[in-house]
Amino acid sequence: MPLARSKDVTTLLLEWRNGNRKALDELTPLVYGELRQLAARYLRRERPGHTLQSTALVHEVYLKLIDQRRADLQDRNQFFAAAAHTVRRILVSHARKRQSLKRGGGATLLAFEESITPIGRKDWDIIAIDTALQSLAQLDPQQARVVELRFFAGLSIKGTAEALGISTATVSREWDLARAWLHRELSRSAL
Amino acid sequence: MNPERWLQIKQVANACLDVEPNQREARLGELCGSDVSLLDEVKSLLASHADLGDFLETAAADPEPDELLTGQQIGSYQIREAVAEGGMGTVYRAVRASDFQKQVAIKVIKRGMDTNFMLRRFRQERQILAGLDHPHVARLLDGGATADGRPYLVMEYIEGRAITDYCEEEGLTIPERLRLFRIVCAAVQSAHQNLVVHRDLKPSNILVTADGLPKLLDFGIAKMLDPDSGPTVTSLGLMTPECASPEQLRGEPINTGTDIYALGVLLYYLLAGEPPYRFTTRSVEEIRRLVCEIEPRKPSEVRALPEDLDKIVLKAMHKDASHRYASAEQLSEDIGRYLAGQPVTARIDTFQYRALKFLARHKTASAASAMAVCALLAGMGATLAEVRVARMERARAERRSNDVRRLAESLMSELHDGVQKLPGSTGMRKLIVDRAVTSLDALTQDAGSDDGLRRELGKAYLRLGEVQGEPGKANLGSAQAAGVSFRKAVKLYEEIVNAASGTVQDRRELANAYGKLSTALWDTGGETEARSLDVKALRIRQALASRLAPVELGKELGSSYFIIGVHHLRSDLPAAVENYRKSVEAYERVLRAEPNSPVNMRNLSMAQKYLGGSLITQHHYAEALRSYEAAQAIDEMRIAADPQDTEARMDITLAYSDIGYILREQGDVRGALGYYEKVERLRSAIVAADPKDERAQSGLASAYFNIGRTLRLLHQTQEATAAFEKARQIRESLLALDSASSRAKVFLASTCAYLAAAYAELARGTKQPEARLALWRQALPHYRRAAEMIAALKGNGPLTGEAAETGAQVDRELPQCLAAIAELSPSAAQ
Repeated sequence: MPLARSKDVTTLLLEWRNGNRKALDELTPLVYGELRQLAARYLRRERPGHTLQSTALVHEVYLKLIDQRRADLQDRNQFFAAAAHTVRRILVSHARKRQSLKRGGGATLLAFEESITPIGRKDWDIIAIDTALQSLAQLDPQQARVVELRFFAGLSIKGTAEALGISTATVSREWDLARAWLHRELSRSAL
Repeated sequence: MNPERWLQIKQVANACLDVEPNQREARLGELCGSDVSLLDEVKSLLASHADLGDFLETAAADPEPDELLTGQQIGSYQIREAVAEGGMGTVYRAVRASDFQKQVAIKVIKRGMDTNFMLRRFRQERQILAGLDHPHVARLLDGGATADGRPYLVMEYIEGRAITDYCEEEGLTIPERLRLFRIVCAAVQSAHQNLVVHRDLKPSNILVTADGLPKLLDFGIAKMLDPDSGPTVTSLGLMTPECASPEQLRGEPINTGTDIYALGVLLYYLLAGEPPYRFTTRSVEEIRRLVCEIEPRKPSEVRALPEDLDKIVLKAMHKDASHRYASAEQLSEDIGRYLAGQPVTARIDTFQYRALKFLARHKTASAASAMAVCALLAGMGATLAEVRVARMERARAERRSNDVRRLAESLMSELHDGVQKLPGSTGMRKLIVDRAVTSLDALTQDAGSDDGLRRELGKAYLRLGEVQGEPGKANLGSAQAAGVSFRKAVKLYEEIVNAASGTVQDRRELANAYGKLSTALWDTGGETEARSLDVKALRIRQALASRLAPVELGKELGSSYFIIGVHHLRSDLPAAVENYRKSVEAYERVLRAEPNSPVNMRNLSMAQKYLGGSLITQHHYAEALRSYEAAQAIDEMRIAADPQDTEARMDITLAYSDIGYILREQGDVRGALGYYEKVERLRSAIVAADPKDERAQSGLASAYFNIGRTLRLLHQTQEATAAFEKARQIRESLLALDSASSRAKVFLASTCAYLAAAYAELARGTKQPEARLALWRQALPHYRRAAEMIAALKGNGPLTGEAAETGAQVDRELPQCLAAIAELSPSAAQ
């Protein structure tokens, strides 16, 4: 029953907000599954020339999974934060798949993942950013989260601040320095 | 590198970034001292920083930016400029292409947001807005889709100032501000009655136009264009922390109380000239703490104001929603009392609070000390009557209960009962119903073991079910949906009755709920369960006999006997007659006690008709005719009292129709036809006035059917086929509306079979072979359609009654029809 499930997701989200970290582990597969399913469904009916945007998708999944009466602005940011992680995983796994295809694979791509590949962005970018971000997370988890929310979920500075419960000034600093660090790492690995 | 080292690097790097670029090197030297590796590390980071450009600034999967539509034409409007941009849409100022003077605001959904789901939401919200017609709410004018398929809404363009700016700039006096505010309350009240909660009432959403009248913007739009207020949003529907209620910040359900709070904040702002809270932080945690825990300064501490106004503002802004005003109307009324120099309820509330405190301190309080409290209150200026008002208000203060009551009473009663009698009202009710289902289900989830709330919910579900399609009233033909609502009501009342706190009234309501559920089940084929529910209801009522007033008891027993009579119709006719007689007696007693009551009249008239019907089946025609004539007389009185009363006009056709039947059975076929034609005329008029009234449609089909049958008795077979054909068309369309209804199938089957048989008779009476074949061929599809319906009905179990008769008829006549066609077909001749 979709209704029962949507309640579960809301409950998980609220639990997560109240400090139950395990709730995120349960939440993510639901969000991931829903994102992929929805994307696949939309793609079958996609009109030509219409690119499905992942932010719109996440938005829709949010509306679908979350009981609006119980969730609020903060939950929305939390949800986007969870979805950020999911979008990151989908993008990275797709980039990997595409790379392996170029090296001789032959299977058809998953339609959804095709659709959310950013236009003009090279696959290696995504993979390299992801790898560098993993290293950054070892050093500074908060900075890595900021990048995930800003870059993968497309949240604004303000939205990121609200999702993480820190000030916008802090987000700006973290964001700048994280970009500097990542930029340096990527330049080094590109050499 | 380890996290500790990184933290050090980070601190140094940030410190360097805080100073001007040309001073960074020097600052870096100072901070690093002799730590060369630290210096190198930060230096390379700073170099990278200088080189960043827009690295990573475009999100991995960002939607393409929306191009502005400025200068373009949308529908019949010319876009002038973008006024605001939100997370999901852009608002433009536009003019009508045919009339540049006419300004409108157009909200266009963003590209990438136009997924099917969003589009559906957009449409839903558009419907809600369309129903929200209030002079002080910005009106929805039009809507459509752009060339690339994105939906848009055209709204009234409001040129004005935010209400707070207007009041300050114009230097309005306090009474002037209060009067302006009361207009806002009226607009919010009207929206609440339409089940729309604004959720984002704030000064910038309430504009005052040049003529000094307020207009509310973004009603429902907040929720639609910008579900949950994206963080990147600028002006559209962002939940403004200054106006957000404690429950919003806590993530609790949002309802009308949320808007009451926001009205309180607005009133505070208008009176004090500044908002109750000013936040220096953006931390949600901090804002939540402030709003949920800290009392704002009283408005009178900001500006000189009478204490009564403090009380009103703080009551509206109460942190506990159940202590706020129950509606915008009540808030407005209290301000009205202030303006008229009367005591305000916000203050009475405090008296009562003090009285309760007093009693709590003196646990041994006797009657004497209670009287002392009263005397004290009287001395403080509150009369006993006011205390009672306050107490009643407190008893009703559980706000969720109040929401349900609003729904059950305001919406259902006023709108439903009000519009029920008006022809053409069916479409309008559908909107209300859909909205109500969602709200009630949500409230039920939150009800827990709160009996008061569950009672209200039970009542609300009963009313809802009635609107959804209690058979026997103008309805939306959805007995199944009604059954679902009635079952929810039954469940709630059973729980209450089984709990220790169940009262006589609860048991009455349970019996009532059983009755309604039974009626809905009856219509969807659940007759066995319906019967057991009705027996349960009768038992409850008989057990309560000694505890109810005779009139009340009469009504309820009358309906129980009536329905038990219905159940006996098939199995035990004498028992059916017996029960109907008891029902008629009970209703006659009630009508004698309360003459001229339309409900009592209708009940008695129905019981008389059913008594007549059961007498007909026992072939007691003379006695049956007396019952119907009694019923007809009552219905004529009802129509005389209210010629608009569609129900009474429909009811009298039932009497006419059965009198027609009796006349036909007694051999007066012409007389019968006269009555049936009367029925047809009345029902046609009812259908013409409200084509969606399915009950009248069904009745009209029956009228044509009866006319067809009577015409056949008169050997006017040609005319009979025309009548049957009209009946058939209506039956088909009714089945399409409710394809699960077995009754609709039975009716369609028998109508088709009769129509086919009439063609068959015409064929038999025709000599010329081609014409004869053509008539048989006209009969065939109708036999087949009847056979199809019968086959579908067999899937539900063995056929009974009319279905069985039709089944036998089709089994007999369809092969004859096929044989005749085979014999006459040219191919067979070859």
